[in-house]
Amino acid sequence: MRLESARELKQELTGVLKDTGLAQSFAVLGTAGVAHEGRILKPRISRKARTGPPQGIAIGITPSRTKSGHKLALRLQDPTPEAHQYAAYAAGKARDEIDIQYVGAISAGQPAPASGYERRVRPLQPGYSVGHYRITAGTLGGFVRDARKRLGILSNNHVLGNTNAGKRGDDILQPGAYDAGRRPGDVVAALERLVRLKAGSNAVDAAWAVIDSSLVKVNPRYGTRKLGAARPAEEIVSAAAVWKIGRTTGLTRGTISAIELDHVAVGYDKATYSFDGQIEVVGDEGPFSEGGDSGSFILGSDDAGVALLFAGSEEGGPKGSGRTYATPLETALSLLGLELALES
Amino acid sequence: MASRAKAKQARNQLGARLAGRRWLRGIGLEGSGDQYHVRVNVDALTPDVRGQIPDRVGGVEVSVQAVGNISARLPGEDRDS
Repeated sequence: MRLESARELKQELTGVLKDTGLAQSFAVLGTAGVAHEGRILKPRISRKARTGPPQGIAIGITPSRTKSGHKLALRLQDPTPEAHQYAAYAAGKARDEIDIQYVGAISAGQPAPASGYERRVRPLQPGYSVGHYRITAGTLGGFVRDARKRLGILSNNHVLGNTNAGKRGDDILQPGAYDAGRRPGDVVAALERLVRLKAGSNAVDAAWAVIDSSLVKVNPRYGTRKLGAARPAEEIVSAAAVWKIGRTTGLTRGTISAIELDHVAVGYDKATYSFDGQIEVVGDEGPFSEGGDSGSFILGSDDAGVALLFAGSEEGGPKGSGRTYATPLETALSLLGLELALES
Repeated sequence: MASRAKAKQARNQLGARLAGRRWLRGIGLEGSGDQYHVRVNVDALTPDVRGQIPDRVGGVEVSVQAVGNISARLPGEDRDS
């Protein structure tokens, strides 16, 4: 819709018209429901006159890809039946030119507290900040060995490989540049190989870097825990408990909420790539991951290696804290020809 | 609910039908034990999007979740794509 139309509709829906005596009926409802966490709530036809949104709904205007240029934006903080009913009403009024999203509770922005995993650590240890010298920072997922028994670091292509742009031999910093890692003092490894991200279907966002073990020592423990063997992809099940240590959020616990996900569209700096065969995790208390946790290994409750974390969503999950996406660790190891280095 | 194998067949069937939709954010399996259904992740669950996703495929239930945009987890990369 045109911007002016969107503004008028927003004004109407926010109840301004109530003050002018032009109260609108809440009886006109769309034919489809809106959803929260998978539940579809069919709107009930109500003759009760309503003018403004219930508490916890924000109304705005967002650009649209249509020729007319704009659509209404509705953000639900609290998924009450009243909020869903109002959203369905708004969708009807906007003739479906509306973007409805559940965002959870909104609070004043505060910098995330330091996890302690942004700092320099020697011997190298999983969970800490790491990155190609030209990126910000991700997480050192774990230690691996190739067929020649060379020791290395496994993380994401977009962490160690600068999202396809890295070259074999490029410097890898610990901590990453975002955490003040600098060349040459913080160089701990050299990029060896990445799985190139491409148009079409991708299986994994992964890369590995070789450590000069005569210069850099490693401690393969996750906190105090010891990583077990990689779990076969077909043995990863939904509803299983998992945990991880990452550069930004540190230790978090969660639950696998979906498996064998195909067509997962992930936005990167310059492109969007699609992934097949992924798993999804939700945090038990707040987000399971945030920016900077890319590359973390996700472990099972028995400390088996389950998955390689690489992406997250803006919404969904408990309290709207987002969902985390990861590749079965076995898939990443297989595609790079690696095995886990469980001992230092 | 269905076995993992049957739910996977339904996922493949629905995935072929929905592939390429701009609002699609993933299609997989959700459940526990050996009881699964198909899960479809979408950008935002507008009535138009909901109308394109069936309640069942091949006898297997389909649930829908709005997840917004998904992005790589680097500092500063949590943005609209």
